[in-house]
Amino acid sequence: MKGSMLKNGCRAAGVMLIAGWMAAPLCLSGCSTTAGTEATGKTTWNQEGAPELSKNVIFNNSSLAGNIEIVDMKSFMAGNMMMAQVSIHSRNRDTVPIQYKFAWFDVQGMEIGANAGAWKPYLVYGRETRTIQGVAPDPRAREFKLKIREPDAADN
Amino acid sequence: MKKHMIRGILLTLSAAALTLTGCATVPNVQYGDAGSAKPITTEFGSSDLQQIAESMVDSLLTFPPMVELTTQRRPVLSVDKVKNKTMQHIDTESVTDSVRTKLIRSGKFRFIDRTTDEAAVDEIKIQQESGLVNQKTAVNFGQQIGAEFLLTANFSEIRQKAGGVTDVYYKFTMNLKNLKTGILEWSDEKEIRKVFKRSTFGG
Repeated sequence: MKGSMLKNGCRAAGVMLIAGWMAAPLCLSGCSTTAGTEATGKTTWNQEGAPELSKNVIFNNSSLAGNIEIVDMKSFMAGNMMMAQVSIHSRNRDTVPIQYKFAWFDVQGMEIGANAGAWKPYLVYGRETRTIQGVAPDPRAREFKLKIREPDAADN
Repeated sequence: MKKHMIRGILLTLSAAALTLTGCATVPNVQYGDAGSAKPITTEFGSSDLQQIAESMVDSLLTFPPMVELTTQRRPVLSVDKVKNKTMQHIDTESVTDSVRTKLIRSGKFRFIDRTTDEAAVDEIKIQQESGLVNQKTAVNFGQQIGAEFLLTANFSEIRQKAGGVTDVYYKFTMNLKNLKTGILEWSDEKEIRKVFKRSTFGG
């Protein structure tokens, strides 16, 4: 039997964030109220015109930060659709169940299909490195955010 | 004095009883997250539908021959009914609807919808025959574009039960068939496993 306060605490402690440098100030303010982890990667172009992915990771959930480490983030253009890949490594010896969701942003930073995505369950086995992939819903996407949370946070 | 006290206590008790019964009957309804991934049973659920739809769309959109095909033009697709081989009654059209919606939203594919043909025929008939519509703007029969590809799907489950454990494995396979050549241009499957363990206490 969990008390409602405990439940709220769990929910608050549920989300992970990784954020790109452009979105970092926004993300930081967001993270302060949403404990967990979020990650953002943003495609920019260098002086030679080659695409570069700037990335940033913010952990706000000590339990998740202890268990899950973001080891790599990549983006790739399949035609004109942005694909994102985030590699996560489990520091835990046991299996860690997580849930993840991608959010996509256009070049102006507007979210595409805001709040439309569904959380996906994912199992990370002990000491294992796994990749999470996502594809943008349409060709406008230039920036992604991966949110990771513990299943306990999903109480509804 | 004593009488007053007893009456007071009785009143308080009855008020408390009323309040308590009142609380117990108030329904606890809340809005939930439509994207929640919390499984309630091993039956096919909303999260399974969302996972299948998203996985199929992601795969089709990034399959290299499809990327090449859709860079120049937006092919026209038609969706076939899903062959539901599971033991459950599932609204499989809802799965294909989600897939179709996402594919249309991607801007890469166009679709024809055979389920609304009857209404379309009625509308064209009215335009042609009622005399109400300016014939310069009226739609003629035989102008629609034929689908180039057919999206077909199979849905199956394997259910195993031992003691207090129920293990359900779902497999959703989707194919894209070229109607002219009969060749399957793309295919992918999504597997989902759900395990239910009866708890030792209160099971």
